[in-house]
Amino acid sequence: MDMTPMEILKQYRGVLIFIIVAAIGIFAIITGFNMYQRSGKLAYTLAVAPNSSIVKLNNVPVKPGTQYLKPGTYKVTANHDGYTDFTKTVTVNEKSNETGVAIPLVPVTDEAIKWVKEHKNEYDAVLSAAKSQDDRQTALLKSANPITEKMPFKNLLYGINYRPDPADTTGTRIQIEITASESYRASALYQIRQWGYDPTDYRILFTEYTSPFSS
Amino acid sequence: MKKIIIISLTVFFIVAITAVLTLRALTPESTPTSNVTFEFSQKDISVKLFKNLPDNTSSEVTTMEDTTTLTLDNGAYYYVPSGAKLAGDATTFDITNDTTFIVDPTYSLEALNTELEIQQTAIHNAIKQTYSLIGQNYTIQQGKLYNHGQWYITTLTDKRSSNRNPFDTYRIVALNENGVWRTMTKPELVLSAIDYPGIPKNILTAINAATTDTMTNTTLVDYE
Repeated sequence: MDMTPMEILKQYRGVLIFIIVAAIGIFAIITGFNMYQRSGKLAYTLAVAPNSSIVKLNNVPVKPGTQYLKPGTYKVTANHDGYTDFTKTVTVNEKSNETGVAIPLVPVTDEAIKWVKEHKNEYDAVLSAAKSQDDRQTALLKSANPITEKMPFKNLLYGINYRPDPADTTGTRIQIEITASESYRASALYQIRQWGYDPTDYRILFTEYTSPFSS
Repeated sequence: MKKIIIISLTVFFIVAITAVLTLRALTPESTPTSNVTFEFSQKDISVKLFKNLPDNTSSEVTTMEDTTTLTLDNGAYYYVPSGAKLAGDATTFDITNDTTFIVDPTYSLEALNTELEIQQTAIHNAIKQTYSLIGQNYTIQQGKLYNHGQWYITTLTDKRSSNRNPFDTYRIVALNENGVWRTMTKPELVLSAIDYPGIPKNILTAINAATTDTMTNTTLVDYE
């Protein structure tokens, strides 16, 4: 005897309800577990080209893509046969402007160069993300340090320039580099004061200089 | 009868609303207040607290001689410390919420100079002991004391230095803890607040702005 769809539905109503309730339950458990695992962590995206590269966070291999990390400082490394290695120390916290890192590994072997050409779209996407990150970093550095508008500065006696402070993980601090002979180092510092800035606020390095007190 | 009740109720409500509105208009809006604790880090000093008023005048709020908690209207205030050795400079501040102020006024220039005369040999010896090179090749300038005389700054000039052939001038900061002087920085051309977060910024700014002249003449000010 043929049964109408409604009759089938009625007959297996219990089973259907069980399946729906079970599905909702499983979904709730998975969602809850994910939320529990991600609580107190921040999303951090690792975009890498080629995607088959070995990416490590603090020497622990991870998959490229979005990772959920506890706030802190991480050493990101990426390597792949035929490409140059990549290493960067990043800071993950709520205040940080970095929500990820784009890593286009630089091809060095013919095979790697061929791969990049064949996967141009994939590689360019990561490359442009890295470039925009660099632009953002530069803009952030400049806005956090208005003194950068005065540099690079050079006259006959001394030169004053800046670069990101390698010891800073927030990406907002600069390191001032003064190139001058011993007689004119003080003049360079005076120049910084003349611009209206206090040298105390910066980490200042002098090129071609060794402190007699360093040992 | 019904009419009379309606009219009476209407009149009652109008009178009540008018009374409420009048009361509200007449009662000045209450200013938010905050609990403010003034924590004294020195003994034998007193502090007069003043509130800045909108007409550019001020009114004295109270005088405190020990750690005190006050409930104050939010606004702009200043306090003036007084004591035997104190400079008596006013400290201005705004109160917007519950807060604690550490009352730690600096000594007067005269008091600091008197203390420096007593302490100088001990400080210079501590510096020379830490960096033997200083004793050999550098002249430790007179320097200055800061705050309550616990911070010391000075410049180190190379003995070979002359006006025609100037050498680098180094800067150093020392601190007196429990009667013992010890250097808090290495001798450096510039002392960065990033490298020395434990040293008050005004002291680092002062030593970085110091010249041999300001470090040998205690009446000169290093910075403004």
